[in-house]
Amino acid sequence: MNLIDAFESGAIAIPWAVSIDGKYFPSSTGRDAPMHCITDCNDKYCQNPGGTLLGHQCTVGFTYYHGKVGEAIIILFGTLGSKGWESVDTGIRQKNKDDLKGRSVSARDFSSWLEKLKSLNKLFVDYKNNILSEALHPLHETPKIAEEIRNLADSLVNLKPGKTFDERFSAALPAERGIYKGAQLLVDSFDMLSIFFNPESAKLGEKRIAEPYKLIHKLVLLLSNSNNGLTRRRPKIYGESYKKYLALESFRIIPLALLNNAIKYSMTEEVIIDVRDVDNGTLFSLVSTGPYISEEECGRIFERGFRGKYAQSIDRDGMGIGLYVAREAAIANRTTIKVVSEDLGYSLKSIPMARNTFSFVVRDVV
Amino acid sequence: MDPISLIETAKQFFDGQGALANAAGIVSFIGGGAIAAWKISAYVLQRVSTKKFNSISEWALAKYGNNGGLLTEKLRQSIRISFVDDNLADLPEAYIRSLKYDLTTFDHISLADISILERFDVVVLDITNVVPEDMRNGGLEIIKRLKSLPTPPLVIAVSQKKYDPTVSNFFKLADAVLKKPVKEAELEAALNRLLITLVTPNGLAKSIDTLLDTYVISENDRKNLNGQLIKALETNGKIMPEFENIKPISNRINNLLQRFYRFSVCYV
Repeated sequence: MNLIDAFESGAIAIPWAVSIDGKYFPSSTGRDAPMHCITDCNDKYCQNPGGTLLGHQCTVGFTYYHGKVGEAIIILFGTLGSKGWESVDTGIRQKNKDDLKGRSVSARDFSSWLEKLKSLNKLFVDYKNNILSEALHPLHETPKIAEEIRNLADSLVNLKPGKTFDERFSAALPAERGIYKGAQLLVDSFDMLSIFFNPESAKLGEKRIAEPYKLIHKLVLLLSNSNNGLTRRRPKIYGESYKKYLALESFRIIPLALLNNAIKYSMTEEVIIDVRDVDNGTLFSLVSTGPYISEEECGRIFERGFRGKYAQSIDRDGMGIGLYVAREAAIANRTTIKVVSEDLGYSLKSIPMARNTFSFVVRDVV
Repeated sequence: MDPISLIETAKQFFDGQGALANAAGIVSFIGGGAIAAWKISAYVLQRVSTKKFNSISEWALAKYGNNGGLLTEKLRQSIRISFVDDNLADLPEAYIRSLKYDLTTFDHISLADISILERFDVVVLDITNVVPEDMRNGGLEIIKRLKSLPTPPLVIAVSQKKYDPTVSNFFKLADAVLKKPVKEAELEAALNRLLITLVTPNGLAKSIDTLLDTYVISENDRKNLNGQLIKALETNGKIMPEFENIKPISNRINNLLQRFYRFSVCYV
């Protein structure tokens, strides 16, 4: 249950016609916004980002307000605001006279309604979190068990001859490598789920020294290991990097989730990782050929639970967790993931192909 | 007057006085000397302190050397740590004991007994199955109470419940968060990170400097205050600094001074 569901149920009173996250709702008494705003207005200036609680005037002199409740953006438009009739264009005023009855809304009126909505939203969020907390409580020991298995697998690999982790991992038996990989991915999955259920958790934990190149190398080694002896799609690593950074535990999740995503949705054999030191940090880029991501989708693929237009047809089981978690981990580690999708002009299984690049710059977290 | 007749005259003088007056005369003579000596030494100390050192850290480094920034064994012995966890096997108890920390363990603690934890410098705390009155999230209640104290202990949260948004405060209020089972090296690193600035002389001196840096006072007042604080540290608080200029942070400064008096004895 969220605010939009609550409004749609009709049980919650809406004093004035508004739009919530782009969806239009008339008032509870059945009154619409002025006809001019609904049908005649072409620029829809009021719907652009940048509005505030204080109110702004559109080109014809109506006042519109923007407010945020939880993640939802509420826009109250087509009101007379505090200046009343005077500011509205004479022709428009005459034409919309009836619609404007009851729409003298001050910033204070809008804010006080918003405060009530925030209280309601908090009830929803608290209720959802409590249910989640109760449902997951029996599992609170499970991540610890995964951690224990991973630590044991780590000791197993470290018993093997070799100076580096690579050498010891290669010297291990296939079953030992399999156990190590499984245990590590299990621990990573719990870390990702923790961030998925509670994004705040990406900020927790001790800061550690992270070496991007070594981390990527290890992740690739692990992800390309196959239990049945068949070679899996192994990403190629390019570039050079020697820098070290202070990072949170959640840092590891960023390349891991991006790499998993690229391997899952890549439609060709090649997945390329480029890690190189730049002036202000280390640039990590991941390039693969996969479904075209439209500009609108580029902004939304990091949203919780969102799945791209073609994602469903490639991987039915995906739940829109990976990229959301990667973004939260990136925010916690003070970086931003950028995505560029270049249309390649051909289709594969009716899916338009593109060269997709996900990139971020690693910096110290403090 | 020759010496013999001088003694004779003195004897006659004392004979003419009562016993109490004699005692007072002697004490006032010795006391006067002591006060003069103390005044002179305080003056010298002040001259040395204010002239020589630009910060408390500089003074501490000169007095304790690099050793003053280390958690020495003697210091570790005086640091009281408690583990509060239903499954103590998840914590490196033997290792922390081998480092000579003063360790006490609890596999549960009632809400009525939380005050027991107030005397610890560090509390390593789990959230689940530790408080009989709230088996699910009792650790959250413990940390809330501890962190509302005027001088709360450091708390290291050890739990895998990071996924639970209803207990976010448990982790936010903690000074460090570690995964379970807790590895020896990770707990030691967290203790080092947290304790160095709060128990070692050099660390505490730096903490005082940092706190003063956040508070804007004139350069002259700052110099004076540095001198007074160094005096207080030198005399274990016998000469107290004037907090007139830094009232809003005086409690926090005082807390750091008290810690200094308590822990610096481990470096003598």
